[in-house]
Amino acid sequence: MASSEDTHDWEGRYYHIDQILDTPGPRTDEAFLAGDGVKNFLRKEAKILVIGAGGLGCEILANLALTGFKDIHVIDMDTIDISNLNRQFLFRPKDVGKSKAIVAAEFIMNRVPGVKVSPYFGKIQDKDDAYYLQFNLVICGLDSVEARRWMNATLVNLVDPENPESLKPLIDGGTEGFKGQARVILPTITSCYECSLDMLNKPTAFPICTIANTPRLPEHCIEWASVLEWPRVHGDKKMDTDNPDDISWLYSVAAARAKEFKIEGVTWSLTQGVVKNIIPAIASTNAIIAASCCNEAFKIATSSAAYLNNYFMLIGTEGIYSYTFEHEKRDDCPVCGGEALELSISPDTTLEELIEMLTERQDIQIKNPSLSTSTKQLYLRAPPQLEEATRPNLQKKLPELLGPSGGELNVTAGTLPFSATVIIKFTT
Amino acid sequence: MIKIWSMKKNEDAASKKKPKTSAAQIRVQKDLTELDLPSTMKTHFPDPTDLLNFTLTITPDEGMYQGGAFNFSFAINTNYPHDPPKVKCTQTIYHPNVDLEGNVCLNILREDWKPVLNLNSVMVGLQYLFLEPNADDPLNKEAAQEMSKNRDQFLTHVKSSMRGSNIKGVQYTSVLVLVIVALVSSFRCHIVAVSVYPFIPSYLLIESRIHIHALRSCND
Amino acid sequence: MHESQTVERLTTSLEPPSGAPDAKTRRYDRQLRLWAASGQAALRICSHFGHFTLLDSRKVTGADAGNNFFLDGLKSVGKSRAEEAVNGLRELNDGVQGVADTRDIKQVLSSQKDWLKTFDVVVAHNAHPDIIDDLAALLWPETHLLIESHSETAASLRIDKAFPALLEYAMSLPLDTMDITDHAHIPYPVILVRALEEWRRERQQATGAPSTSDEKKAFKERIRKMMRKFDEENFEEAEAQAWRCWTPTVVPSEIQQLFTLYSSSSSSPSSFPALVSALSQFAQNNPASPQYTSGLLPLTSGLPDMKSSTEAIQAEKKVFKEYLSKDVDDASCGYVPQKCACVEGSERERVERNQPGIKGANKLSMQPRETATHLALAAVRFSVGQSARAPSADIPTTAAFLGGLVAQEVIKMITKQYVPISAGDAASSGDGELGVCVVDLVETWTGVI
Repeated sequence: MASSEDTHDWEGRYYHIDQILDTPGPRTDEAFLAGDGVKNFLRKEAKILVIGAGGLGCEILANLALTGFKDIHVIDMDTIDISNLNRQFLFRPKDVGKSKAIVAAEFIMNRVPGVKVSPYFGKIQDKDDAYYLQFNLVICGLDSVEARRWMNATLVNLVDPENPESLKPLIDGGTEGFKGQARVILPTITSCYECSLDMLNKPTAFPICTIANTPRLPEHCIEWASVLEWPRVHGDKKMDTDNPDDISWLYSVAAARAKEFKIEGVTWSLTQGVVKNIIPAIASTNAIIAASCCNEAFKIATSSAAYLNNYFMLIGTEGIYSYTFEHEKRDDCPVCGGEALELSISPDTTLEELIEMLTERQDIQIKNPSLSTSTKQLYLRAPPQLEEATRPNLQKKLPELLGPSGGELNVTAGTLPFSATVIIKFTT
Repeated sequence: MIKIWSMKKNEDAASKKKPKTSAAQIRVQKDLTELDLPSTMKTHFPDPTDLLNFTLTITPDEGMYQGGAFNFSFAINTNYPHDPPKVKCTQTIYHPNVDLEGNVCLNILREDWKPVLNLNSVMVGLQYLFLEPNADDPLNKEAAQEMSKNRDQFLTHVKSSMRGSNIKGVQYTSVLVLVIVALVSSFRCHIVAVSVYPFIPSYLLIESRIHIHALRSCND
Repeated sequence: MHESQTVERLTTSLEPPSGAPDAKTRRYDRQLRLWAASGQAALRICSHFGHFTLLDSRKVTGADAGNNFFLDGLKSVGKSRAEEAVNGLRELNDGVQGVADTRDIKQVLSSQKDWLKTFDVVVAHNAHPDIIDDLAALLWPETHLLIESHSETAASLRIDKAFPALLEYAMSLPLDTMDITDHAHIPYPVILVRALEEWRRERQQATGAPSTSDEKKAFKERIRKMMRKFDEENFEEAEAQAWRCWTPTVVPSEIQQLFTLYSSSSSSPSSFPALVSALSQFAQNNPASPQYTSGLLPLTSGLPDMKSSTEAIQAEKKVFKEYLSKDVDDASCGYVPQKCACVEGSERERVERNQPGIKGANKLSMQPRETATHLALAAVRFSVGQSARAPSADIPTTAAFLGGLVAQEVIKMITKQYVPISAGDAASSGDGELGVCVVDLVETWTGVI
């Protein structure tokens, strides 16, 4: 029996996992503490956050629980829809309408004794840095680019060079039909989500003139209804793509349009798919990608084996094809690229003097910079109206603009790859 | 544990952190402060602290739309530059590639948008529509048909729509730039003409709103 | 205005939400978008999804209970592994019937082989290689047929062998005098057919196409010169697609193989061989294009989207469709009844719609163990990759990864859609042999050998 005193553990429970944890392998990191050291960390100390309790999230939670993580947190703002039931196997028809995070957490705790899953039914944006700092690592099983960008930027910004604990590995999974990808991001060290933003497939968009005048596909008719007719008829009222009545309205308008142009194939389901940009999803692909994400989490948390560096792509439409490669970090990445500069200066320094200091520095090429904080613009070179509006700030002293304890400035300039961060501290 | 972690926890690391700036916000700052616009295009920010919502005025200095001032609203969301900016014409204008609702047919605003493009490319693209309207990709089909079948009639419609006429039941917005020509001699200044742009040399053209203001004082 | 009237009429005459799918369709919505109703029907008919049997003679150990999400922890220990797991699985979806069977696979293989044959798919995992070999020899069918490969390669438009109606339509267009807007909306296949035919007439030949690189360059230049304005996108499209003129339309090798396979097909419970045979006869003696006699399949129904006006594409589709239905009628009515009196309509349609995507995976010629079932076994071994370190470790993430891969393959086989794993490069599945997938979850990669 493992050394764990957990009352829920039974003879042989971790028979399989412990074979890995008791012996180093040929490629195991030196820091690996075979035996009780690593088991105690995994089962008693490690705290892991799962973002999303959907198709990937359900699989991720089950895998983590079986692997031996015992303190798992999960965030999801969605409620359960009937179309989730084909693959989100922690949910049943009776759960439709309830919080995904809460139902998933309860299911896991019932099935895998001794595991604590703490759900949060809400947005990732509701939580502050202190919340995210408590975890050892984060796994994302999301379907939204925006949420991923937010989570990625949050974890990159969390990194404090003086505190190694502030670096939280981020493991990100995504699927589309028979295709999927998993990646490991070590914020500020390896390529981040934002670095690869231009690799994303963008949703199919059709020229608006085609939609307006020369529709040829059923999708053209549906976009006519949603892009042109909806705002024209409903004005500012926002379309709710989760509301069946709105979809039905779009479907009827699109179907009439299709009839007029003798186009076949407009259906309710296609209408919903086009306006919600529904990505087809199946359980098997989710299982593969979630397993891959959890496997990386396990290896990173235990140091029991080398981990993915840093991008794994799977294409199951024709045979099983996969591609593992290192995505390169980008210097001009808006999130993890660019220099960070710490300045200790007198609280009597004006903004104009600061700009002069920055321009004169040799180690970082800044010509004609524009500066802002996360909440306001301090000085923008252009356009003229904004220059005029921010010009009075030039004569102000920095504490007046940043507060008495200083703060972070975002600096952009044509000479920088993207931007630089300047951290101002005041000498007393 | 992989090496980047030490086993020891640092409890109070969180307290000093500032709320962060979104990548979209910094990118917009970069795009705007590095705009390289000709004198025919001007931005206006109703709220100068909000960089995500503003208008662009295009005053073409050549072509059939010369003399007009065309306004577009820009709305940028927090998923920029993954998502393109949302651009609409805020006036009712007669143009083959702009419909009466203000929708604009410009490829880089939809199907051909990519994150490497920026606000400058969108603005230059919009101006191009006024220099070279494209009848083959119509959004206002009637205008496009007129343009390709009866160019003289089309030009007449363009001119009268710009004056704010009603054509075939559609009331167009008057977009003409009002210009006041002031003759300035050593001590005196008097207004000699109030007219519309095409008859005034372009070097006298200054921002229209200033002159509307001047016009009012003249009437007084 | 005309448009607003249309919408007003529409919005006032709107019926209450209509066309919205039923609960079952909504439940399977995200997968229906991949393989449509035909694939879903195949899943439901087949035993794996409408009905599954779990064969396992062993009892649940502590290690099993710690490793399998569908066992009920300590409560399951000591009970039948098949029964406990089926209970957990059955609870997933009440539309699926699950049966636990506690017999030993060795016993079944020796005395109840026919029972195994009643299943559409048999998945074996962690089984002794001898058992895998026996299973493979028993079960592996001669051919796995794939009807909808969802191939991303473009369908043939048969530009080089245009059917008479299309040729006539292309030649009838008054290119120099027609309305300039209409000119900018001629679909590119029509432009290509026109350009090629003009090229042939200049040379007074009925067939042939540019072949040298100079000829090809000149041909593209010819298309460019047909533009009446500098930016006519449809002509740019035509120029980009000019390769279609000198790419001869032939029967793809995979389908040619099927023809050989079914040349003497006698009686079969499935209508598929009859359809293949009909296709074969059609290709050998295409009555609709006598001047090009043989070597052509019926046209596919899907036209790719292209720059054109609604009217122009409608006209093109009409010409295409009339010809298509003629082709299809010739292919099916002409030949099928002789072979098989009862051809199911929907399957016929699927075969005809997708015939360029039909692929056959032949019986494995190397060793019987190279089956999809072996996929799981080989992968488990390689994945751990460190057999000295963990000789019998079956860690949950590796198992889930493989389970997912196997499930993908099973789905592809049952729905007869998409392409299952094959030997060699995924892209060159022409040899039709199934392959073995190896997975390394240390550095996280997969490969097919």
